[in-house]
Amino acid sequence: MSKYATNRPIWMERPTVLGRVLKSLILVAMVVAVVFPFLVVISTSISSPESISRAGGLVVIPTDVSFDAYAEILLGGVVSRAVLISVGVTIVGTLLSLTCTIFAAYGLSRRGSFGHGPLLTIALVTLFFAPGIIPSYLTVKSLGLLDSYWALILPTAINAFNLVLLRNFFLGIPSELLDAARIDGAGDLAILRRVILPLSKAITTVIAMFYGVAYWNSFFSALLYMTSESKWPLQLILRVFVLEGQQIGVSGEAPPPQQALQMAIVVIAIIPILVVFPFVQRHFTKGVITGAIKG
Amino acid sequence: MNSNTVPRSMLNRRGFLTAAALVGGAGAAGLMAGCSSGASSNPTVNAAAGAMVELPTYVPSAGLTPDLPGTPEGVQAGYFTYPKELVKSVATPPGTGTALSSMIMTFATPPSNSQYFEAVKTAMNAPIDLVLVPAGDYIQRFSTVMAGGDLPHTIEIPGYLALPRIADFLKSQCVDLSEHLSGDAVKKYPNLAAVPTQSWRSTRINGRLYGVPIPRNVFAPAPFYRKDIVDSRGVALPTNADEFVAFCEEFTSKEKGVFALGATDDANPFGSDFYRGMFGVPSFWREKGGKLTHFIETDEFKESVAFSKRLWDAGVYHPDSPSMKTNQATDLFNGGKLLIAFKGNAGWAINQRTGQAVDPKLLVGVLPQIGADGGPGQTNLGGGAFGYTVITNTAKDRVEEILSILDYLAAPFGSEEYHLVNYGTEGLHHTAGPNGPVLTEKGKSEVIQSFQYMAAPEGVLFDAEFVEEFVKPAHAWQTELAPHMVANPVTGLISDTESRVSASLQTMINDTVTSVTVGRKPLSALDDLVAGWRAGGGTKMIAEYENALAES
Repeated sequence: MSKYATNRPIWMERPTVLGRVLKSLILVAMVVAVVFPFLVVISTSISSPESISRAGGLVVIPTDVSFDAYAEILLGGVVSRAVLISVGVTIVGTLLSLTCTIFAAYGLSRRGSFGHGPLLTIALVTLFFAPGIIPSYLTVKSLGLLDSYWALILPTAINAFNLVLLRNFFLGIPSELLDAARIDGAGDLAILRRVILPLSKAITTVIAMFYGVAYWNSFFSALLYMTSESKWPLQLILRVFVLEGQQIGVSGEAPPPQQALQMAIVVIAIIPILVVFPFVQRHFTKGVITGAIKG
Repeated sequence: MNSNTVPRSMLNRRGFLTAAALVGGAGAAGLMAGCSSGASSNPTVNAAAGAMVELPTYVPSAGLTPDLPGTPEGVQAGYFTYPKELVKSVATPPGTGTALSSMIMTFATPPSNSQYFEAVKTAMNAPIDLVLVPAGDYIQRFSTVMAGGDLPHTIEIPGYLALPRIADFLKSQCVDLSEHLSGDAVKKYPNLAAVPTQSWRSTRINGRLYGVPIPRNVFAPAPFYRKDIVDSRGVALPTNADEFVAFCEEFTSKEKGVFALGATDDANPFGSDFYRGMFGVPSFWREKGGKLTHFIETDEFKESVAFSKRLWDAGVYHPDSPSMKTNQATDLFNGGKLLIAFKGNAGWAINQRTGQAVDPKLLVGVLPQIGADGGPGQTNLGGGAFGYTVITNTAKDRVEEILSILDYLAAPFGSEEYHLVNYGTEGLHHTAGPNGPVLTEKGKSEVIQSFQYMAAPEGVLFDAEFVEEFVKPAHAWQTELAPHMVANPVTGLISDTESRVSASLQTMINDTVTSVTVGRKPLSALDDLVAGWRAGGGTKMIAEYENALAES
């Protein structure tokens, strides 16, 4: 019998050198596979048109560094304005959506609350049926929200999936805590504020992240509801930049934008998410596994 | 979570699933009832016999004499220099100062607080609210605007988009312009009268004139090639199919990553008009004795696909071709890695300019159309219009004013109005260079293609910087092609089925051509394509068009 043999399962054994090398190589390969395209995007975005053409379209290691693409995008004034609009819609929308979702989830998690059954059914039905473009447009129009920033926020203020997620979490909070608070004289709002929300930091962070990313990436609502191009958010502006080349390259209506320009657009679009994510990663990780382990 | 925390009142899993099934069933039934079969309530969408109005009378613009003359067949006039003296084609501002809304597509990011927009609106005395919609999403926005009922005063209808139920929309929501534009009535608007007759054909729907065209030249996408590279090697241009294959092989080197061909139409990488012209493929439809045959049903089409497959098998296509995007093809072309690129011919000078910025030696040429066995081959006669602008019923009491505004925007090359619309205000958006207007930085960002998608004049061949590289060879290419153009026999006719299914059928055709070319499917798949096309709506389309032909 080997001197290393134990009664532990094999995955708990001390790994061999070969095993550790293999695992490291696999992990490095996976990281490279994920990071490499992203690096190519950044490299291409800071390359000159000549070096991009020489490389056949995508540059791995930039030789002639040029920030002309970023200058063209950011100094035009259009993108700067669109960034402010996107940031505003994202912040306001996320706060409003989070607030509405928390209140709705709390109400729907309390036994016997008014209209509990029908309201929850209505919310769940929206998980099965999307309204479609035209009914959504007609609804927004009838509410007088066309060409208003609220058209980018209110129609999607509460997401049924997030609502169900949060409701289920609230249901999992031990009722003894709530009973104890009620005995101490707390009302429903006080219970929500002082008991439930402090326990729900992880899940609310996750849901805030979901809403924030959705608002930041959203362009279709602006396309449908915004008649003034001065109110276009960043993603719609960037989409025009990116789609220009595909449309007009065929018809010859105008020259396609440079590859560098399109790559710079991609970088600009994801920078805010990259900046924010490290600050919420801890909560995000905790929140994602919430509910995975039955309590 | 324990059972004590689950509300007892309503929703256990069984109850929820039952409720969902009931709701879903009711909803689906409602949706299905709302869905029509898609057939128009009008069994024939085209006008009854005898209702076909006359196209507007063509009256060429007086004033400028071109250096290279245009022709009635569609060859564009060419100019070597920008006119020193501009003519005034519109005596008084056409607008009344009343607000006007116009929905158009945009291929550029709209500028903020554009002084260019304000300058043009002021000159026309027409405060136009331009509703700019990104070109890639125009069909979605158009659908919602149609459904929403709050229509702008004018809407651009792009010709290349299969907009749903367009005939019904025009008839019910748009002004019939026949009495204003048909025949000699158009002479009230001299600039519109100077729009070529071919451009007006696509605006005659159901036998009536519904729009003002946005003219384009009638020529097919051009097979641009690196003339500097070919000339440096002293290789003669091909004159038949076999020579074309040898020509491509001559300029292909896998080791150096250089290929003769690459796909430049994202949706249709191998369906080149150039190949189809070599084998005599009809222009979308062949009409004989009132009977229609779609081009995919012809032997000539199969020969053209077999030829593209031959080229693929010869290795002269860039390996990325099936998924190549236009930008990648442009970069490869400019970098000398791609010899031939099929692109819209209107972009000749633009491609020359942007390519030369990358490679100063770059010279864009166009391969002459050839026949498979030698001879001139043929080419499709284009619709002559990018689209057209309609006036909706919300402005039915302002038709003459709006037509006057469109007449202003259709002012010809060499006019003051054209100068303002295309170059903006002098000193602010452009300066006067030795060869013509030179856009300033502000001009480059503000003067975007915008009003030109409401109305525009007949295009001309002009680029003062590239007379030898573009104006003269483009005029020669068009002159050579003009006698061999084949018209689409159903131009100006509407098939309700086509507007619904053409996008999906075209995807089917493109995918099959690609699959056969790269060897994923055998040539016999083209027979399956015909069967699938017919089953997918092609048979109905044929019936509708034949009916329309009989009535026209």
